[in-house]
Parts: sequence; structure tokens; C-alpha cells
Amino acid sequence: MIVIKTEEFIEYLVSLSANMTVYAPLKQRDQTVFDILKNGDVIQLDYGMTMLSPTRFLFPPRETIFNAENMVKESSNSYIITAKEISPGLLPNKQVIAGIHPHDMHAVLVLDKVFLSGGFVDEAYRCRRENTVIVVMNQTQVWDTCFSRSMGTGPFFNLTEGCDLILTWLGRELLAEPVSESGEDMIKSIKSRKANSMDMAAKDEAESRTASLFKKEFNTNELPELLMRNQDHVIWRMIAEDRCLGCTNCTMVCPTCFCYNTEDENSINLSSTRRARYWASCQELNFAKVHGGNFRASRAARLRQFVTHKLSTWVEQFGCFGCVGCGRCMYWCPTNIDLVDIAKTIAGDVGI
Amino acid sequence: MSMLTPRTAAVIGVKKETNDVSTYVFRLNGDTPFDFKAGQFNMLGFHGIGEAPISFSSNLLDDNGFAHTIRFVGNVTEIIRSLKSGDNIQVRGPYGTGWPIELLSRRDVVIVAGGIGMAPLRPVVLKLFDGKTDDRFHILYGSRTPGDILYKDEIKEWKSKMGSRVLVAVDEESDDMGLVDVVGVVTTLIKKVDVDFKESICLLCGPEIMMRFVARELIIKGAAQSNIYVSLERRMYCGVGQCGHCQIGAKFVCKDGPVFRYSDIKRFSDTML
Repeated sequence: MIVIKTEEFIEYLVSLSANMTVYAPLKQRDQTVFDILKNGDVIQLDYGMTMLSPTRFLFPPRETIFNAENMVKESSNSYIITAKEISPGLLPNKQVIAGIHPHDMHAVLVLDKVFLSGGFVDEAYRCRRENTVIVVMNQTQVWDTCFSRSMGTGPFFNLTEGCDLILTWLGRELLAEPVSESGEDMIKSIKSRKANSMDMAAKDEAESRTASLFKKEFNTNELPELLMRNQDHVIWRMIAEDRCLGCTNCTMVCPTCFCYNTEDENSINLSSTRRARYWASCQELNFAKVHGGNFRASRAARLRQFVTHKLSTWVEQFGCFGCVGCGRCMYWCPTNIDLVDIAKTIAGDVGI
Repeated sequence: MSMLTPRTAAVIGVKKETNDVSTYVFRLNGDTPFDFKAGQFNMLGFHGIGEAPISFSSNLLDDNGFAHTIRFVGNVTEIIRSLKSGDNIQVRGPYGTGWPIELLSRRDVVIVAGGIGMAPLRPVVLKLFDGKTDDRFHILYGSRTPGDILYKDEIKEWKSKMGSRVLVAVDEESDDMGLVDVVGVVTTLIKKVDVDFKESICLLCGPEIMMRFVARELIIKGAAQSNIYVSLERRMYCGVGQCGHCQIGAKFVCKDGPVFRYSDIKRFSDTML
């Protein structure tokens, strides 16, 4: 465990960005945004909430599944297109995500379960994940909607797997704990000193100070069962019909949402096709539509799907909550629909 | 290659079933070995159009062939309507679980199908005729009109072998009532079946609203919820539990289903079961 000067680490990231893509929290106007680090950018490691999570550099909003060169055959009443040759979409070389918060790192671990260990391996995700070095930045700021402490995903990252390096902000210095070979390699090339007991004490102090800043608390004990018993609770209809605009913001900013649609793009003479996938939202009207009907035609059903999936059925599917407590969904909801409030209301109503 | 990249198959036979349903036999190009279980499905599609999940309507045929019985109701299936022998199609699969074939020996089996729901059950019926010597199975088939009945030749053959253990109901009468036993909904056929429902395995496929009433009738007759199996249909883009569209509560219809125990899936909202 070592200590490095904050500006030395930032200089190191800048030097890395000459040879590979480095994603970092950058100051853009009055926000912090995870983006590609370029010359002249201001890196802000002690940041609060970012609107979009850096998980999108592992599961991008839109990507090519394959490109196909086509043979086109005119049939009786249509054109039948079949592939002459298929080539996969482009995948990245080595990339770095620097400064990811612990709850977003937990979101990466959730996506790992969906795309790598759910029975089928998604090649694009696997390739990105294996080629990405991840530096976790322990959280020292807390915003009103954040409840990662209650979800067990923050404010500090206390696992020693999944990422490569864990940083703790000690003001002008950073405590750096490598947890993988890539992490070890990283700190070798930065000027550093050995961490002493004062540094460790400063980290513990920072953790308990940050933990004391949380305003949003949430008891997740028996939460999955509670929501399953209350699938017909009146609150779904009340909140959905009064306040849900169906805008899909909640699912677009959620770091664990994994749903996607596919879409084919054809060249004008049909000689080539690009099949792409792009983020989908369970809040879209047609998300569960089939021929002859829509299994979630009401906004109430769609709101219930979002909330019960994150806080209940996800546990049965993947052994963890689908919510990491970042608070983005309720922050970016135009009418402040709050899944914690919904769960608390249900718990209060049935007397838990 | 990614599992989202399809393989190419060719049509090697077409049989018209009704005005808007045909059965197609496909084979993967390049002599690729292929195998699947009754109840599983393929993603069938075309570049430039998209894909749709379709259950197998046969067991593995000679030379690695496989059949899908398809109703022409959407973008992909309307293109399939125009296919002739030799035409190509893109295929991903097989996906999903299958019917619990291993449970069917030495038990009474009640198969209840509605409309196009006969297609995913046909491989089970063929297996039962093939392997089951005690004839302890019943087939109840509901259809909108006599003209909508699938596999008419086979049903005639099944009826001649099995007598009243193969029953057909239609909602609307017409001139050709040759195969029809009852005018009415398929649940009325359950009363005509003489088995101990408590010990039976029941396999259901059809519109969800039909399966709802069939399952209830079977439970009233004594069938255990855990012995009733249903095959469900949902919107799907991936087939491998990742695009999220087919989720019902904690279940992915594509990889945990499409065949479920009734008791496993009924506990979630957003079904008609």
C-alpha cells in the first residue's frame, strides 16, 4: 500500500492517455462527466454524482453486433437478404476507467453476472471487460439521493476483486491499494512513498466521516419478499398514474440496467447490413409487446417492473440487488419518483 | 463469433397448414450437426429485418433437419411466407429449456393445446407415439375454426389410433367438422377425459388466457400446480437472458423457459396465468 501525490497521479493518467483511451471524471461546465481524457481537460477526482455511470464504457449505449455483406434475392413479394460474409463489430484495445465510485464498481460486478455468468457469455462485454483497467475512487462526497451505504456498496470499496486499484482521497495525496497485477504495474510507474499507520488511520477516518454524511437510509432486510407479497399494492397505480411520465430517464441513468433492443441498418442497395444493439427501457410502452397484446400495457405495470426488478427479483436471478444505491433514478426523474420511498410506503402499510 | 451472430439455414420443405400457417423444414448450410430438445426454440430472422423466436415443431429430422410451424403475423414471419425450397434464412439457437420428457414415462399425460400452441407440443406427441407403449396420454386441442386446425392429416391418424383420447374443440362451426368433437372452448374437453388428474403431468401451450382457464380447470380436477407445465411467449431480442425483454418477475422466458412449471411462474405479475 502506497501514497502518491494527487497531481502525480493525474499527470500519470494524462501520460497514459497518449497511448490508450482513458476515461476519467472531467470538469465540464458545472458538472463532472466521465469522458475520454484529452489534452487540457481538468480531472476532478473528488467529485459527487455524475449523471451517467462509467459502466457505459463496458456496455455502451449503442454498438455494432455485426456487419454483413449481403446476397440479395428477389422473391415473389419481397427481397430475401442473406449474409455472404459476416464480420463482428469493432472492440477496444486496452482502456482505463479511472476514478469510478464504489457503487458504480459494484454495478460493474452486477453487469458481470448478467453478461458473463448468467449461462451465456456476451463476447463484446467480455472483450471490453478484460481489456479495461479499473481504478476505484472511494467516495468522500455524499448527495441527497445517495443511499449506497444502505445497499452495502459504499461509500468505500471493501472488496479486493473485480477492479485493479483502489484510491482514497487524503487531500493533496491519494492512498493507493493495488488489488491486481495491472494495479501493481500502474503504481510502479508513479512516484510514491510507503503508506504508514497515520495514512491508514486517515483512510478509516475518511470512511466513517463519509458514512456519517448519508441522509437516505433504507432497510433492505426481507425487502425482496416484501415486494413479492405486494405486487398488487395500490401504490404502483397511484404513483404511476399521478406522476410517471414514461420518459425512461430512470433506466437510462441506472448503472445496472442491461436491457437492449437490436436494430438492422441496411445500405440503400441492400448490399450490406449492420445489426446494432442499443439500450432499451422497460418503461417504454412496447417493451413487452407481442403479437396480439402487451404484457405491460399500463404505466403501473411498467413502474412495478422497474422497482421490483431492482429491489426484489434481481436477487433471485443473480444473487444480489439490482440497485447499488447511487440515487440517479430518483434524482433525474422529472417528478422525483423514488423507489426507496415506494418500498418504505409498502413496508409501512403492511406493518414491517 | 458472438453468439448473437446467426448461422444460415436453407428451406428443404414447405407444407401449408392453414391460410396463415405453414410448416417449414430447415437444415443448416454446410452439413453442420444440430440437436435440440422438444420445447426449445430458434431465433429465426433475416438481415435487414430482424429476428423472432419460434419453437421447434418437430424432433430432429433426417440429415439434421428441423421444422418450425409459423403463423404469418409479423415482419419476420411475413418474409418467411415468401420462402421456397432452397431459400436461405438466418438461425440462432437452440435456446431455452424443453418439455419435461423424462417425467412422461409411466405417468398419465394430458396435453392441452390452443391454436398455434399445437406446434411446440407436436414433438412431444410424436415422441409419445414413438416411445410410449401404454397409450396413457390424452391430446386436447382447441381451435378457432375447423379451418385453423394444424396437422390435419396427423390428427386424423392420431384419432384413429387413440380414439377418444384425442379430442378437438372449435369455437365456431363450419362445413368441414370431420375432426371436431365439440363446439366450445377447449376447457370443455377436460370433462371428457378419464384419468386420475392427481397423478398426471399436464402440458399446456396456447394463448395465455386459454392456459389460465385450462390450468384452473385441471387444478379443480385435482392436478398439482407443480405437475402443470406451460410454454410461454414473450418479446425477445437475444434469446440468452440478456436483452431483458422477456422477463416475467425473476424468470427469463428465453433461458429459464419457455416451458415453466405453472407454480414457478404464476407467482409473478404481468402474465394472464
